[in-house]
Amino acid sequence: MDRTTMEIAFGRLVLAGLVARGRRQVGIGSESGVAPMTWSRRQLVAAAVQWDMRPVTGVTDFTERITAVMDAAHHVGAALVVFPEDLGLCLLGLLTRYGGPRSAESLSPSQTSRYLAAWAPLVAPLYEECFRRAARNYGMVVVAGSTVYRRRTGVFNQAVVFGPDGRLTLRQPKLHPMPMERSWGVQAGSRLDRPGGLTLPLGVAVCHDASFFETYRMAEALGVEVMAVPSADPESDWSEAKARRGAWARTQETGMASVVAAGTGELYGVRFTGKAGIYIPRELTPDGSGVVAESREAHGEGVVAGTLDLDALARFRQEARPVPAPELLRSWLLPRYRALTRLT
Amino acid sequence: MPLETPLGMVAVAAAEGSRLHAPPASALVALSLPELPPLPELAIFTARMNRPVIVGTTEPEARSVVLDRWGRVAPTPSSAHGGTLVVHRLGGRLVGLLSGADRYVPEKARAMALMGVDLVLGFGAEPKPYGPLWAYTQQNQFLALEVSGEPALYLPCEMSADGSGVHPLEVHGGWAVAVLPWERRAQGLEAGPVLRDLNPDAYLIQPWWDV
Repeated sequence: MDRTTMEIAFGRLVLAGLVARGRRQVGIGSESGVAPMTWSRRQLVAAAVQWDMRPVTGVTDFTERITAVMDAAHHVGAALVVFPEDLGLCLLGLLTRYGGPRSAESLSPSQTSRYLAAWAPLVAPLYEECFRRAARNYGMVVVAGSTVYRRRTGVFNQAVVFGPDGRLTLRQPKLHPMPMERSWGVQAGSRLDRPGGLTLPLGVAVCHDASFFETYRMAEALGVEVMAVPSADPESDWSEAKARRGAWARTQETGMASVVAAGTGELYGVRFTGKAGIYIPRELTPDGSGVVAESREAHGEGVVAGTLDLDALARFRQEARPVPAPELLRSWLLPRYRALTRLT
Repeated sequence: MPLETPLGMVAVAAAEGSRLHAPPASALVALSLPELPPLPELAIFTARMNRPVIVGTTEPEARSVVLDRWGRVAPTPSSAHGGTLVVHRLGGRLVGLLSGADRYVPEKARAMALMGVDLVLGFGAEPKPYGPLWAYTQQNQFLALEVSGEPALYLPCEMSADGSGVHPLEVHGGWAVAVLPWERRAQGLEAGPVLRDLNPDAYLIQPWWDV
């Protein structure tokens, strides 16, 4: 048995115990329950979280930080709060005192892939328990960022959404894994869905998904008007231009609002920068920036919030965003997608 | 020669011995005008320039025309945001044209990219910074030239010297002149082709194009 295999087996045993105990310790907000936060089409308050992605030192460390974020979002009347991508992986920090996990820089992609597939899915139940309680105890729709899950067909980076009653309403796998993720065995999801049972017209694009207009068009066809974008951008140096080519640009193209959560800091040797922000078409902002709210810094953590007018966005889409002719799509685009599927 | 049109004035001025600031010999010449000049006038202008000329108009009626260096018109259909892609092979490169409402439809730029277009010309002024043509450049990794009163050359952020996705242009005698950074684009494509990350299976499962 090689060292990696032994470490993985040991880590699985330890994690199983820590997660089972941790699930019983989770306490976020008041367990007596609250009424769901109210929102209307004219006034939806959304909050986007910027989170320092350091490994957790314990379950309480994680839940206290979530509580602080939920308190801040509740204070401004948010009905929707979005957390960043890969957030669940911070829970692997529970293993730190038992010797793992190590920096991805010191591992080959195939080794990283083995650790990720073996350990990350084990913390998913604890991660879900934290956010189920956060959603229910604050009465908010919570897009809990994402974590790595193992499914029958492979390993996926998957976002989860909880309704204000704490019900899990959507599991949305990332449709466009980054090359680094693919080298770690993360597979692409096969379809985009809407949360079931929510009146909020919400969709989820996981980070790199927002680099492709197709994600927003598919969401638009499902009736989505607000895209939650949990992201964790593995860039050591933030630049406005690079940040603007994702969700912000898709919002300009389609007229849908984007609520972007950002991971920052360093997690297992991967450095992240990013700003949490809320974006609408530039024509609808007084300064032409398209920014409703945005963090000042691309480092550290905090919460930004803003109010969205879904009626105004719908009118804007109707009047100012042309819809491509169906023959363009059928004649030119779909055949090329089909050709690509034959290549891959 | 109709002096009331800009090209007529340029052609007459040149014929009368005025110095015409001409772009480099290998250049394509692109003009954005409120409406298409008469073709004979364009042909004279093109022959005078001795370079291929591409003219695009802005809204409400978006049209474009391409002439070879001898002033012969290459067929270019009229296109709103309809089903036609306007792509020409010029100077050994595939060049796509976007004008009018086409500039606000990312599908058209994507279709061009998947056809292998190297350069897209967008006719008309873009909001700055980060207008639609800039954004299409980022998600398709072609080069794009905004042909307008405030011209700009866009390339993917990673391929631009300052990371902005905008390549500097020089202005000489009323012409904005750009040497297209093909080498830089090739290096960028080799380092990280973003179209490799497309998920065509997912795009084909959901009939979003029929809604």
